[in-house]
Amino acid sequence: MTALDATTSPDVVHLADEFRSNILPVTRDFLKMKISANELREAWRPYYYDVFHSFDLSVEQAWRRVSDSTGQLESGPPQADPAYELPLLLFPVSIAHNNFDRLIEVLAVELGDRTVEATKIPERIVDFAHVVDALNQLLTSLALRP
Amino acid sequence: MDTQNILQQLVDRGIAPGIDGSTLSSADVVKGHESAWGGAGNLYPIRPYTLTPAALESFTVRERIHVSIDGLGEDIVDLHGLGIYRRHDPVAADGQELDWAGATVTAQFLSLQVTGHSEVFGQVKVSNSPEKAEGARVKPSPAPGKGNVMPIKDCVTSLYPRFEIEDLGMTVDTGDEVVRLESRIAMVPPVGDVSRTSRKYPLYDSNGRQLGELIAADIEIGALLHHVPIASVVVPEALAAVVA
Repeated sequence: MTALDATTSPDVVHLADEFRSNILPVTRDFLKMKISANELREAWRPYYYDVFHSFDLSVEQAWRRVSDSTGQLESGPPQADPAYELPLLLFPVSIAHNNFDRLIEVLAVELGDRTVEATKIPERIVDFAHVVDALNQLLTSLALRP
Repeated sequence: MDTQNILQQLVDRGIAPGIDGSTLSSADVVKGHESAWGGAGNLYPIRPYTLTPAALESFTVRERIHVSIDGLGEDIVDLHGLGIYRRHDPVAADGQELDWAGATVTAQFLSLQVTGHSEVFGQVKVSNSPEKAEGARVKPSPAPGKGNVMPIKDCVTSLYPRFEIEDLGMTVDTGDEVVRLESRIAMVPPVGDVSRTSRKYPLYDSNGRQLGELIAADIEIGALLHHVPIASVVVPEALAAVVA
């Protein structure tokens, strides 16, 4: 089992900075009717497919290194060994981003070039506000970890 | 971001009708099971980016539906229950070795039962239709314009839900139309996944008469309750056609 060090660990600090700088303002603008759902999606995509994708790859690599996982078929139950702490701490960031991507997608499908007040599915706008907040808190807490 | 303040602004603008101050709490929000949000003492429980052999698996499931029924009205209903599926052997991409990046994973739904209460509809119970081909397909997700494959996979769940509505006195469904919920995952089983519909579906009675509409559905996969390895299982032909 290979230990992770500061040079090989996924850079959650950078991801958190990018999220706060580039995504939080856009999400505020969307909720305040300043931009459409399509504009929200267009702003999200470069961050998701570039910045987050790189981070996600590094979490996967971190998992493979500490667990000796090859990505091929593996035996045993699906539960993770908590000894592999670092990637398991960071993986919720991946889950949250992927779930958020889907939420943005369905908002764009419903609203297109319209802004948030046109929605007929208001509960998903409430989801959106909570998810942004929770994801920001998750990233911040992980970035501040010693 | 001040969530509560923004949510109050949404209510004040009338964007969140029916969502008054009492429901501005996070209880009704769909954002993913708590196990997927990490934090102290809450390490993610499933091996990520990992392929495992065929198995029977059961989970807690939470579903939120937004439904309108003629003569009764419209409501957003929170439902909780269980899901059981039979996950098949993963399949490698054509001409490639079997690995996480290129694999496709499918599962057949054996049971999905969730129940909740609505002030508009009374008790609501949603179940699947196991006599029909229902299941999920997880396949590689290429990054747009880059030609490489991301660690995450695209997941499509295909169901024929049945809605037992107490105050309607009958069960309605989507007829022959399969309901699709989509998500993106990097873990199998997908604990923490949130899948969502992207369109409406008409709801019919047993005579094929439209009585309402499924406006939106969002499903959270919760805790893994049971995992039972089973002998090698391939995708039944009828299911393969639905999840293709």
